[in-house]
Amino acid sequence: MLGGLAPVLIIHLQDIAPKALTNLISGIPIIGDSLANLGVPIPLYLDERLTGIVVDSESKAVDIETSVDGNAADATKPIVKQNGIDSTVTLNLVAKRDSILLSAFLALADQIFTRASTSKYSITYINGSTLIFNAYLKSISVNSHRENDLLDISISMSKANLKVPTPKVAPDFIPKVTLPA
Amino acid sequence: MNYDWYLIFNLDEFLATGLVSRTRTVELEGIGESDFLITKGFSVSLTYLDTILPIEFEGRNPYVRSPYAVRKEENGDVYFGVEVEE
Repeated sequence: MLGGLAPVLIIHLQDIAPKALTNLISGIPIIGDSLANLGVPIPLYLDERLTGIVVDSESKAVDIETSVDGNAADATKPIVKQNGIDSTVTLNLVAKRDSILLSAFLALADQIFTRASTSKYSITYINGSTLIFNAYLKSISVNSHRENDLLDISISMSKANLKVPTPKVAPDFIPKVTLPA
Repeated sequence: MNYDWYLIFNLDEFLATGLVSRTRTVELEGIGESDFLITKGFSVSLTYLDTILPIEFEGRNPYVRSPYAVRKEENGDVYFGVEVEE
């Protein structure tokens, strides 16, 4: 949405320009490499009338790992460490079988599949309060029905946290002592 | 038997927290970085490298499980001991 009416899914593919053009752009001093990797953002509007794809349901989940440890210095203030694990948005879409955008979307999903190992893509979904920017495609499935010409599409997008090293706190140094027997 | 003793925690302070377990990573002089697990069941124990050292087990203070030992002082300080050659 962001001022529009329909939910929008933006698929951004890097390295999609022809190699000759990429080589030309990357020769530009300082910003050449960044420009060459910019790629192409492809917006897909999920509107029943415009594109024949509608969001049936959506959900967002954020997982945070939390550990609580006792504090030897102050027993009333335990040490809490947190680490973001994953932020996932799951969309359930319904599409008409003959939707052109659906064909384009499935073709893009195949492009993502070839780029999955290099992570040279990202997906952004914007629909009111459900937002996820620069996410990875976690899964996609398409199911058809015999009774009608509709397709059920389930997409899951994730912003799984890169392994962030937790700051290491130097342990307390304890000297050895001699105690009376 | 002689031991090198290291002060790990205070028993009274630990009991006051109401916790049933706590881990503590410390650097012991001459040994290096070590992990201790303090657990409270019927009594409080100190676990080091898979060796459980119950504090004042059966009235024994220090409680010895060679080459380690645990000892509690009157003020509640709990020491971890490592055998040293005489």
